[in-house]
Amino acid sequence: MELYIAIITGLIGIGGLLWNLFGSSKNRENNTFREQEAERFFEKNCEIDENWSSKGRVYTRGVGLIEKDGKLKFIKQAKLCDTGILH
Amino acid sequence: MSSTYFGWIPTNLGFINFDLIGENEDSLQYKETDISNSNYISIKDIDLNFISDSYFPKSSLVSKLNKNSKEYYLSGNIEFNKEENKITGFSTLTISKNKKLLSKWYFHSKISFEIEYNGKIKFYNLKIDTNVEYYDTFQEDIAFIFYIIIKNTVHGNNHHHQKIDTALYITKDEFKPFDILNNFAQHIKRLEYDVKSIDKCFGKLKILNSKNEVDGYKSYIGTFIELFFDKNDKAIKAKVESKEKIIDNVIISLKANVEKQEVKNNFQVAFVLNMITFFAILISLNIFANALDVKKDLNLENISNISIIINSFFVIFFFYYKSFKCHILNRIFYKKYYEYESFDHLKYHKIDKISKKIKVISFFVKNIHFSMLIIVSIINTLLYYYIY
Repeated sequence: MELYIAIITGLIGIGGLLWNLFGSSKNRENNTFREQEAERFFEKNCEIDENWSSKGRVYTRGVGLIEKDGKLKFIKQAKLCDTGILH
Repeated sequence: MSSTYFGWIPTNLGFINFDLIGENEDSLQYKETDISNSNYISIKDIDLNFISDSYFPKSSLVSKLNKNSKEYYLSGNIEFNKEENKITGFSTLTISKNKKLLSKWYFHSKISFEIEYNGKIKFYNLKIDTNVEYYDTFQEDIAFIFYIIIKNTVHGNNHHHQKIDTALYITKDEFKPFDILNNFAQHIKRLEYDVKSIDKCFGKLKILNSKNEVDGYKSYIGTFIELFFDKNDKAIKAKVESKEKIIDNVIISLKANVEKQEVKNNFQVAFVLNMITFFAILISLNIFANALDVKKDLNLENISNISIIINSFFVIFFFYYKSFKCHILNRIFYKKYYEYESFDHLKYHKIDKISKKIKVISFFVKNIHFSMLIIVSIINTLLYYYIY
């Protein structure tokens, strides 16, 4: 009996993981935008320039202090806030 | 030369109560009052990283992924003086390496302010002292940080997450009531959009709270209109009434969406509860049958008791998993916002060595119910070979 249970649970478990890995992705259509935002978030300190536009999305705005070329400098920042993330 | 900025500190009573300033203990580390005259309040070392997104601190995850990213500590002090027709005072901001090195600051700034008892605030005489690269274009952003500190100290934040300051902004050179009203309306519209598009699992608490949140905003909007718009002026009255109706319509739409989701959610909960009840009965019968030694009568002696216990546990966990997951995610969203935010961005981040490891771990944690089924499978296989 244990062997039957092992086979059934194993199949459901592996099937579920594979489905979630390859089969379903809710936000795939938004990936390009989110990839750019993730890059800004992790690698560019959410920095924006004067020409930046929110393009209708919701961002929290702020300033930050960063170190660049050995010097500290202020930068303007914009980060997708919880409202923005959900859009 | 520094500019003058204006804003509104929300008060639904229409009157700022001086005695309640600084009672928002979550954002304040130290409050000092002059007992001798009770017209003076000083609040020291306000940790802005906790109360606002206006200055972006980093989560520990960002620091791990980006070695060039450093975190700085921003703290504020404020002093309030009670006068007959207004509250005056000044606030200072300091950015330093960390909390212990406040005296070795990179940036120090000071601003004076006047708050009328109806909440209208004026900032002026902004002074900045810094040895880092800084331009005058940052003035408004710095003034906004001061606004956030003062607003949090005087008003608190009961109707939204304390870090999300997207409802109210400041204006330069003059007080603009219609701009403030528009900001309120746009913010409510964003909330309504949220309710429709939010992930129903981790956003559950936010969705349910949003009905109360918009009621809170509505109460402030009502008071704001009473305070700052002359209803004897027919043109202004018509414009304000029109805006109020639009806001009401958005609120009705938001509430309808929340209620629709509540009905759907209750339906799902009822289904899950039925399933749990079903398995609870099944397990009870198992135990009962075991006690009566039914296995022997039905010739099923090859199922071990430990196997029954382990499998029953995982079956129940599998059905409880969704409610556990939603509950935990909601807690993280409210209590550990930066960590939540970082993990959300990580899903879309290009893979490097560190983020790949985190991604693999978070994938298995996110799918813990399926991961556990594989564990059950392994345990059952081991039991099979151990017993036979």
